[in-house]
Amino acid sequence: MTELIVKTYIAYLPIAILLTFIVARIFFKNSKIFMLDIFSGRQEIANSTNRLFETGFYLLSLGFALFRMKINKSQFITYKNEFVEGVRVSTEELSYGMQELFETLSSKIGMLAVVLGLMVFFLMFMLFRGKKKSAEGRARKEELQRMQEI
Amino acid sequence: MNTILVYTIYLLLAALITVLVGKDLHRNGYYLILDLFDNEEFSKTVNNLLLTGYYLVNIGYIAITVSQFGAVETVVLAIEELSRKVGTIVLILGILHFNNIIVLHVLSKRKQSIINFINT
Repeated sequence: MTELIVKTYIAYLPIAILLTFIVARIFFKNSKIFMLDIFSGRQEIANSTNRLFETGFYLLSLGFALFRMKINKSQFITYKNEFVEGVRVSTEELSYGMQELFETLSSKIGMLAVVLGLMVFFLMFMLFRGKKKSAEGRARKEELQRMQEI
Repeated sequence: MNTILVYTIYLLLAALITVLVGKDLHRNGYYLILDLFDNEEFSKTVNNLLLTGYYLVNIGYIAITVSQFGAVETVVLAIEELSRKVGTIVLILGILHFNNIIVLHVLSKRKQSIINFINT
């Protein structure tokens, strides 16, 4: 039984890490153009900010994946009460087979995927907000210059 | 499982993660600090000081949490404890990291608004 639990962990870790890496690569390849727009074309600071966000994304998602890795074993334990010669004997049994392995694995991976998706949407929201803010700032600066010229 | 072995794995893994992340932040955070201070030498000094403080806080916290390990008699328990502990540290690192970005961003914004105020 415990062998299968170890197998679940061994299967979970690479899937979680791979999922995180794929999502991060896709997202941060495409967010570079937003960063360039936010920092109005300054290449160095845009690249380094992109990289900083990427590191933070890895930290949060891998941290969550590791934090939620532990399987709650109490849901697989069944208690049996038997009466042997008038005395109650309760035994507990851990039933963890291939079916439970797949169920646990899919629920854990699904949870991680949902969290990654939420994080991606949050970061997208931040990027759009930053884009709007930087455009407003640029407009204000131009207006100031125009006023000074007059 | 051998408790000392689990502790060694934990310390090595956590220290490795801390050092790798710290190097990355040290390299990329320089431009943000440069944007804030506009002075290369001063930015380098501040960056180095921040890195030193980061290492001290993180490795100190890792060393503190070694004594809070649960039972690690079997392989399953060892994996669970290790993942929970390393996950906590990585999560804390991530939260602190985003906090740092927000602080730097707010500071540079404030600086920009002061410059704008002076110009008008």
